[in-house]
Amino acid sequence: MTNYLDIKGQNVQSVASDPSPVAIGQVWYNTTSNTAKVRGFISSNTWATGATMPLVGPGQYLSYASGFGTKDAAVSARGYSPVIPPSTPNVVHYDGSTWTSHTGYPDGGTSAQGFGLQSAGIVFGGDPSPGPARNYSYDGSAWTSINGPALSVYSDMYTGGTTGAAFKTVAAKTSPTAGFTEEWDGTNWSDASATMNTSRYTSGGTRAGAGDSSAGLIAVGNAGNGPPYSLSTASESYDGSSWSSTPSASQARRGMFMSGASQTSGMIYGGRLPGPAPSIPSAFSNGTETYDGTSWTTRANGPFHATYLTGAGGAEGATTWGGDTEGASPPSNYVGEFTGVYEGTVTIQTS
Amino acid sequence: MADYQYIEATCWGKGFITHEDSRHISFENYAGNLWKIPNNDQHANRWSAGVAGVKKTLVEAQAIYDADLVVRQNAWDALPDDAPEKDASSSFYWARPTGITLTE
Repeated sequence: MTNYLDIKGQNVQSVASDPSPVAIGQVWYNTTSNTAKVRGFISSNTWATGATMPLVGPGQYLSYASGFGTKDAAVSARGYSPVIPPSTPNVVHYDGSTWTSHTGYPDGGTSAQGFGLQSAGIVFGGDPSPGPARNYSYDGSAWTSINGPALSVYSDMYTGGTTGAAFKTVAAKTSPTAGFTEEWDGTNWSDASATMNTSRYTSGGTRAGAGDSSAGLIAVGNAGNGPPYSLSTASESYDGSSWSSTPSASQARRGMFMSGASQTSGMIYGGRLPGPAPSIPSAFSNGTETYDGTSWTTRANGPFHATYLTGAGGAEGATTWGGDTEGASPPSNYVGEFTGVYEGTVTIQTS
Repeated sequence: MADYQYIEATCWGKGFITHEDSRHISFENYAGNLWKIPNNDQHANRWSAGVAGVKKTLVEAQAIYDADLVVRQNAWDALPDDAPEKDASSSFYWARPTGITLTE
């Protein structure tokens, strides 16, 4: 038997209940449960089904919706459905168990980009492009008009950031704006004078991009200054001044959900795969990849194949919803919940 | 011996597939509420029983898939000619659905 004092030079604190807060690496002994515990990182990387979404279901689907927030505090705004009237508020919150309706998005349209938190989010742009201004901040209950980016290509972008902090956006669909980058300072957008190494567009992604303007990450999508375009696995990060190529993802796709906290923590799920024929599963991905700053790792497949979906959260945990399979399967209101690598307390096992 | 089996089960949402299920089972969802899961696997068999799934032979699963495909194709055919789903220049363009051959 190893004595902790001998190997670490410290005694283990005995407590009647688990301390709070605790730090990574902290070890203690709970005298109530008679268990030794340690705070560390738990690697799950699994999917589960979430509560079905109220806006979609038999006979109707919701694609190109704007998602933002976190896994258990998410917002879905607007989106495209052939059977949901444009006047429908189409704004719902998810708390990890239940969806609830909230104040409607002020405008119609689809493919608007979403980022930030449920209580401090931003939705901007969207089709038709350039279309009317559709740029709003959201405090969890009300929408407020904000300044929009200069670029007239308002969809198919990669975005990431927070409401008050700087933010990047990239529109790469057409030359000469391919790879163009703008930053958000909480009030205005400005040209970042930076161009991506691989110009690309998401082709329907409304939550695609990780991090913010000082630590951003993008990957995959439709690449090139076409048409024609080609699906890419390329990945690159942004440090606030320039883009740098990073190791490629495994699966080339577009119309995917991509999100994450920084340039060292991102995830990709779902999307449209190469090929014109819409069938399940060959044309639509349920693949999951996560990025840790060094490489992309293929994780467990999600439960559903879908493209043009959206979501909230990131590599630590995410909720995804909406999307479609271009008519290849019935419209669904399925929701996926991903749990990645997260901070947690575990009981030390003696055998 | 088949590596996979097909289960017909309707997803009800939260709890239909749990993280614990996902840790042990690879899931593939197909049209017609079909789920392709490992064959001769206790975790998969327990999950199927837990969701009241009905095991289908490969032929039965293919028939369910094909029947749903016809519904999908008929739905596409019924769209107006000017529907965004039929406009190749639209972001919402869909090609007419095509089927696949299921495998075990």
